[in-house]
Amino acid sequence: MKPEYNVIGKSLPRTGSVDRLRGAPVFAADIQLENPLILKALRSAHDHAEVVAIDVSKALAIEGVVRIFTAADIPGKNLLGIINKDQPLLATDKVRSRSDAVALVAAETESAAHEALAAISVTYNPLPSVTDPFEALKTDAPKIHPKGNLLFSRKIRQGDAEAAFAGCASVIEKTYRTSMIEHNYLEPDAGAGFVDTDGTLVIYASTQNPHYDHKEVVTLLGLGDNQVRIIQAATGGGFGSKLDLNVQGFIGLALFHLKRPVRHVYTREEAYLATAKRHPLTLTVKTGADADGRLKAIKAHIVCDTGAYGSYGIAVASRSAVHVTGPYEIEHVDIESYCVYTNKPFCGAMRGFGAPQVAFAHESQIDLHARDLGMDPLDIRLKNCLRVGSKTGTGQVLTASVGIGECLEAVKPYYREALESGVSAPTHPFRRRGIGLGAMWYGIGNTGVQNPSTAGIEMDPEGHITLFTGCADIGQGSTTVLAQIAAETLGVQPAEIRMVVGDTKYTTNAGATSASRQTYISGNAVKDACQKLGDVLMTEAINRLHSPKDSLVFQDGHVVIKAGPENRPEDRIDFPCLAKRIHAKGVPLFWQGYFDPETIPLDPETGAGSPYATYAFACHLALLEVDTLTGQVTLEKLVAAHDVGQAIHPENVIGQICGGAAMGIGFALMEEFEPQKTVSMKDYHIPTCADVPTVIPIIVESAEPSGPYGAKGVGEPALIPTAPAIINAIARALGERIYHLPANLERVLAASISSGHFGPQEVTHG
Amino acid sequence: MLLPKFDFHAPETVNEACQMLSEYGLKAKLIAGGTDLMVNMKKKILAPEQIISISQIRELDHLDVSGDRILIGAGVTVADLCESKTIAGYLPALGQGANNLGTPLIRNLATIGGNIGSARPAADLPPGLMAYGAEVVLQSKAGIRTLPLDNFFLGPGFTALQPDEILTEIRILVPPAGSGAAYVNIGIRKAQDCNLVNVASYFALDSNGIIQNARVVMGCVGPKPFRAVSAEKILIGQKPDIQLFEKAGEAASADSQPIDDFRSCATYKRSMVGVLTQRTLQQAWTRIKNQE
Ligand SMILES: Cc1cc2nc3c(=O)[nH]c(=O)nc-3n(C[C@H](O)[C@H](O)[C@H](O)COP(=O)(O)OP(=O)(O)OC[C@H]3O[C@@H](n4cnc5c(N)ncnc54)[C@H](O)[C@@H]3O)c2cc1C
Repeated sequence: MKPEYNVIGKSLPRTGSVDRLRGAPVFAADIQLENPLILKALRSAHDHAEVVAIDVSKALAIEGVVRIFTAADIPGKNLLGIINKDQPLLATDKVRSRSDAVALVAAETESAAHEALAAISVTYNPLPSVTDPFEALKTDAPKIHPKGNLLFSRKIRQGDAEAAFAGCASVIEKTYRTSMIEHNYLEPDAGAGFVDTDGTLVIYASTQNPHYDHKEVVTLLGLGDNQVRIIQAATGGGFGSKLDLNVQGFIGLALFHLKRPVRHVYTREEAYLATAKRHPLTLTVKTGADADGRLKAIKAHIVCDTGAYGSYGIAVASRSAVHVTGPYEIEHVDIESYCVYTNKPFCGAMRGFGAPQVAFAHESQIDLHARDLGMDPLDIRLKNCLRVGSKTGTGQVLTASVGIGECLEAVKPYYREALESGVSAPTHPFRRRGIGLGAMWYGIGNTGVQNPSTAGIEMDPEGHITLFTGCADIGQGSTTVLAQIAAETLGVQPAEIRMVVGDTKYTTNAGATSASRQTYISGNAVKDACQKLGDVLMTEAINRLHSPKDSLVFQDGHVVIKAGPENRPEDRIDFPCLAKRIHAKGVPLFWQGYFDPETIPLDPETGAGSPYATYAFACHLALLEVDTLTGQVTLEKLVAAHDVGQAIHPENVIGQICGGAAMGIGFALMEEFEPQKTVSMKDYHIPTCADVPTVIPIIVESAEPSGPYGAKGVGEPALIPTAPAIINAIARALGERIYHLPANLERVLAASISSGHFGPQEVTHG
Repeated sequence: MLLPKFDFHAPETVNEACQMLSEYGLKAKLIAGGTDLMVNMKKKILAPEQIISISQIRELDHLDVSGDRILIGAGVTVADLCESKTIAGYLPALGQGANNLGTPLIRNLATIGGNIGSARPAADLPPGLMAYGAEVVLQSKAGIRTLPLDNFFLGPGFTALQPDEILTEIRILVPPAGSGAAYVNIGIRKAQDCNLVNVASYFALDSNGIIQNARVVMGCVGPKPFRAVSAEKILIGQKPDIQLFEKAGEAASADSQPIDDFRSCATYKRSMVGVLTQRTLQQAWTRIKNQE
């Protein structure tokens, strides 16, 4: 039986939606400051080079140029990085990619800043560079960082994979490649700042993690925590790339020295050039299944190209190792994943952290086994999928909320119908229809590392409630969801709760808006805070209503005695009344909440552990048509079933599913970032609405006991199964498979040619 | 990204505009929808001091059938072409190009004159226009001249237009009975894309069902849209059928001069010229058969 909720599971208007419609929220590029200086960064002219000298004299002589900063001007630690610190804000002895900033100009005008960039003379001593991660691993490869080019490796070993293959009826080994991807959020990175009257450096930023920004800027400038304040400006998307410090460090540096308002706004071209990308992965996967189609063993070798810096690279390598088994039970596991430096733009977090890349592989493998064994792709997935009680590749036993089977069942009717109507005999000389499935699992939160969230809730003596959260809402709607969780817990309406979000002066660390973690982790922290406040309110209400605690509930801003025979006024007491009394007694009305998912770190040798407290599951079905003579793929329909535990806000979940599917289409069919070639949206193609078919979202709710009201997450899962479903559909249409993403026109055509579909064909009306 | 500084003029007649052009010469640029010019100005590729808008010139807005000719004013927007019954009825290959150009927002602004004037090798309208044998009318203070569109394009961004000339009109003979044409393009995605290959084909049958005239025009596979002469030779004098179209496709492929770029390799484009040539011929033939 599903519990009844007041506001959970209701698609209420989003917090701040009226303001949004009025255009009230201010994005960082639009922040009005008095006479701000313009900041512009000079980027490296080489993939890899020693910086011998930087001559700024000519640039400084330009009218309107106020100052030019180099690494020497950084008062604190010039080394940044979310997981490992390896990235200077401004280049010191050398540059490792063309994204590296060498100098920072502060000027009165945009044009003076541009002129100055051109007038700075940098003497480089070019070094040999390496752009292929396999080359970079060789002993004689150019060394990008002092410790070498291998940043990290993750091993997961369980059972005896080699021995198990020997007993398998179907063994398949393939190599898969994915491309570097640009996030393409709507709002290019931007920020602005000023020095407050008390000397605090105030920085507005378009960011996914203001509290991380805060710590990083404090360290960079060698300041105290109170001397820097980060305020999240309205943020137009991030998809992972606004987790790194983009403009915040530059703004801090300029404020520190100049004490004048500054602004730093990237052009689209700069956002392309200077921010993180999705890791391209090369993975060789060998899997074995018995004659019944039961997966027995997996061996995987994964190489993640992290470019010049680590950013979230370690997380990507770790997560891809855990996830490469797919949402299936496989007893024998032998996985290794490497994170390797090259002289390319750095790669960091992007929606899925490696899971979309490995899903392409595990979903291709399972379809290959199905074909090999003459099984139906849906049946083989149902046979192997994780269930309550299953053991994962890291030896974690899943105890609840394993909704993959339900997701597969949810798409089944669509799949069967498509099979019957869709892929019958070809009726067109050069069009082939295909249908494909893609399934996935996704661990919520960071991989086997602690990633707590905190939140604050306050009631003033008049009974007004304010929720403080450091959780950055970047468009996905976390503010609404957190307000709903608080409202449910305290028995009020979300609109009655004042939300203070992402301002390090008032909020506390909620961790990153990433890893699909905010609803689950920050939602729990909010719930924890609200329960503490609730306890205080209840205690006072027990005194006032002379009724035991278990007889009381929160309702419409009151504590009421539940199940009373009639609704008597003396059976209820409102929050203002309680708050006044609590306050008068000197009992606090401000409470902090805390939550950290229960995980067990992965063993460095065997990878054994419980990397996540819970997992989301999903299955997509793609229906499409392939033009066998041109390689064009036309999507007809996507069906997307997602186990989110509990949809706190179903419309938000649907928004994530549809947006994720669109992003997945880009990953599958067209997106490929090529440094120095794809410099803007003109050359880098993301899907338009004309490329996105009808998406049928299906919400599956297999409640997570440790989640706030049963919730897990959906932000990244939304994207992950789309590309595998599309690739499997293309394979089904052509009888030939693509192992290299994107499946662009040329690759699809090549598959068509090798499957013998290319060439004039008579129409056979069937 | 700020625009370079310029003066803006909005003459109401072609004569006025010609007068301005003759005065400012190379310092001036005409602007119609601005969807090409503005991009180049923002990128600082062009920085004209004088911008002469032709949007207020009503005499450039016509789209009529006059005797045996279809006359299209240079200021007609792509959205107008998409909606026009004249285009759909007489010049469906041009309509296909218009419907595939950009997005609704771009189509509302973009003009046929601007599409020709910008001389992009991948533009959507020239192949169809050339397949129909269009002529362009160029006017300056000194007078009016006409030129087959085939001879108008010189290279990417380069045309036979003199600095003091305006393209005022596109003229096309009403296609004869027993003729048909079609246009097909390929891009990386379904909309808002720079074509990788585009082809328009036209042919006309005589009373015996023999192809007496054919034009096959390829875009994106050379410095300008140009005709696949060998394909046309193969077609003329033959009866249309799939094998003939296939041969014409192979010939067009051989005539094309694609280059490799990061979006797509030359081999792909060359092979697509063949496919699209066949497809456009096939569609043109279907159109002819549907007339009967
Ligand atoms: C987002 C976007 C998408 C696009 N997609 C496509 C597409 O899919 N297919 C495509 O073909 N194009 C596309 N374009 C390019 C452009 O929109 C078209 O070429 C359009 O037809 C240009 O017309 P315009 O009126 O806007 O030209 P303008 O920009 O006003 O002018 C273009 C050039 O032609 C000259 N010119 C204009 N009118 C005349 C005239 N009457 N006489 C002489 N010279 C003249 C101008 O001086 C200028 O050099 C796209 C552009 C953008 C910005």
